[in-house]
Amino acid sequence: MNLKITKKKFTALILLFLLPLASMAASKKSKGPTVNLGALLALTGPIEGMVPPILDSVNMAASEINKNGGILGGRELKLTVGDSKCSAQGGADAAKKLVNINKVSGIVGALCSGASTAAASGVAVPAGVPMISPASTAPTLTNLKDNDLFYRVIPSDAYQGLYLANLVLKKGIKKVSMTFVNNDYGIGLAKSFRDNYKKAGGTIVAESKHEDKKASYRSELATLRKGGPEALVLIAYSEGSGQTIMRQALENKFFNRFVGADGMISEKLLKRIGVKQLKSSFFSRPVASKTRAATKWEKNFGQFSKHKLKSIFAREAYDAAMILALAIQKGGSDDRATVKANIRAVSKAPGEIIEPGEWKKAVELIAAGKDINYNGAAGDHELDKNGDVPGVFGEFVVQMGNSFKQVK
Amino acid sequence: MDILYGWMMYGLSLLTVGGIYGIIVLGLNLQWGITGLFNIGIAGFFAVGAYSTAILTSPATENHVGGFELPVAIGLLGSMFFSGIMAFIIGKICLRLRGDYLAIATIGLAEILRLILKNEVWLTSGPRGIPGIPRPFEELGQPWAEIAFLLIVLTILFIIYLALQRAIHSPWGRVMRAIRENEKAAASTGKDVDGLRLEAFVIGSIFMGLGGALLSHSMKFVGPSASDPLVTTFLAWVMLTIGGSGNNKGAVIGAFIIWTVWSASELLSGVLSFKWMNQLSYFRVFLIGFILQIILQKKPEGIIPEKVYQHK
Repeated sequence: MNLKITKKKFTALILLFLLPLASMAASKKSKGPTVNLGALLALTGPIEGMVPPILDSVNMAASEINKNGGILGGRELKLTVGDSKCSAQGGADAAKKLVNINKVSGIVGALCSGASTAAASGVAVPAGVPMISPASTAPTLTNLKDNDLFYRVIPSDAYQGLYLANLVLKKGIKKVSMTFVNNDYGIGLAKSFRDNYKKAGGTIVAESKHEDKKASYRSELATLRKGGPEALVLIAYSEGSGQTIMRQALENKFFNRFVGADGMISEKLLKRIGVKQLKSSFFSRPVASKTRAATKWEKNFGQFSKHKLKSIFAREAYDAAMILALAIQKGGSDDRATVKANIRAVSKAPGEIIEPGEWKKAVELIAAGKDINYNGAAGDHELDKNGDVPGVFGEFVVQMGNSFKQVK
Repeated sequence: MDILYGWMMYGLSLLTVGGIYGIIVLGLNLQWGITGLFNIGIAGFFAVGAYSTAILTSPATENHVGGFELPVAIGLLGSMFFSGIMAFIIGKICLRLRGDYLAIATIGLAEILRLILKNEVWLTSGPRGIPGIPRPFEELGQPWAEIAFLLIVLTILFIIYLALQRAIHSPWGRVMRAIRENEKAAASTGKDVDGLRLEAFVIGSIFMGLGGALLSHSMKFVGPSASDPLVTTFLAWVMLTIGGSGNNKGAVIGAFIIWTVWSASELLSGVLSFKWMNQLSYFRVFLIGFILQIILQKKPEGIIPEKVYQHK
């Protein structure tokens, strides 16, 4: 057999590659007008492990809507997933396809803050497509020049820093050391904590930025301990540097009291470190888990997906998709400008409250001309003028049985 | 009509990014294809270019130095200048090495460069990146803004292509190839081998920096993830290898083909069920490797191989 690539074979190869594209264009026409939403998720890349439950959750929203009579009077809601690869290029490139080829009316995403920024400012904003991110927490996104098109249903790290600073002071701790992981999460949260803590009269005697996944942080810890801090503010991930730092600080008796944020709350951490040593430590995290809406979502998600309930950002992703769908339904059109104009209208009080799984009720209320207010699995989502949600945070301490307990 | 418009808009962006990669790959072709310098530190020069223009042209912020809000043209020239300076310094240090040793040195220094840019928060805003980079002719609105930007990219690509085409067919280009084939022979005829290698390295890296700058104007944002070696170094090398190392036309065509495959293969997800969408993303990376294998096995010199000229 002659395996040389001739011109003919090369053309055949290219045609083969184009075939699915052509069939896709054709199939779209035959199905009639679908209402299109995009989900810009980091399917590959550094956070790929987190994504499958998020994908399931967005898909659950779409399937609930389609099962309950569809959108805009029986049309099908079609979800297209783009892979942002958690990078700026990937985000912009995938958004280009969603916006131009898939003709989406809105985008759920992106997840990583860099991908969100590039996708929003480079693609979605010029094209007038609204985006709702379920996971980008970088404070810089607050002031993005977004023409009121970029929203998020997860609080900016700036709010958690403020909460944490006040919590630490309320406990009477006036002198702390701080170390944070060197990425957008760590830097953003640390800056917000630093600013708010100092403003309210606290003193940070030493602080350091550390790289994730090193074997030893002992020298950093030795430096951080100088100046007599009462606790160590540790902004890191429990699966990464957070756990190592905590263990080495305890082993070497550098610190015995820690203040952590959402990245540190994991039961695995307690199994490895032990509850006893962390009795005086406390943690903060955005909370919404106690509401009725959240319980409903949990029940539905448990049936829909094989992934665990604890998966982070899955609730937010569901809410983002629901807000976009409700905005389409309320505006009565999948036109992008209409969607944009209705995002705040469907998520803000006052109005009849809509919770996860209540698509049918929402459609009926809208048809009756009533104002609706979506209260989601991850919170009430009262979007402010920058498109941010304030977020509710809770204080967590450890308890026996290796778990966290919310105390406030 | 609406669907056609969408495909046209997407086509514009494919050509824009493809053209930007074309500029980078032309730089790599000068270094590797013509002169034989094994540079796998493209990401570093790309990052210097991308951040230089970002700092020079973006509006003021409290997060990092900058706020100069200079015109985009100045930003592009600045990024060429800074990546050239960096290449000069790195070249002075590394170019004494040959072959794979040079490769290791370039990847090391380029990673250092990238880490500096990631960590010097006062300069680059660190992991948060720099948003709000202007894109020229933005105020025209869609689709004219995209068309104008594409024309800018294609014009730059064309000028660089013509210049390099002339350069390789001049005596200068012949010396470069002589160096690639046999350095000692070239030196024995009295050519300043070290100086010429440095020239090729600096000029090639300037184009890489320019490519990075254009890409950050196209995305209007730059952050550490933008200069990830996977989407800079690796992709550029695949493009050159597939297109045809040593041939400028091959370099440009390779850039367009590979970027199209890389980006457009995602459209397949439209016909796949949800279950398979997750897998598709990995399949795309696999596809690039697969194409590379086929080309290397069947056409080791690339789609358009280097032409050997007989000079009389």
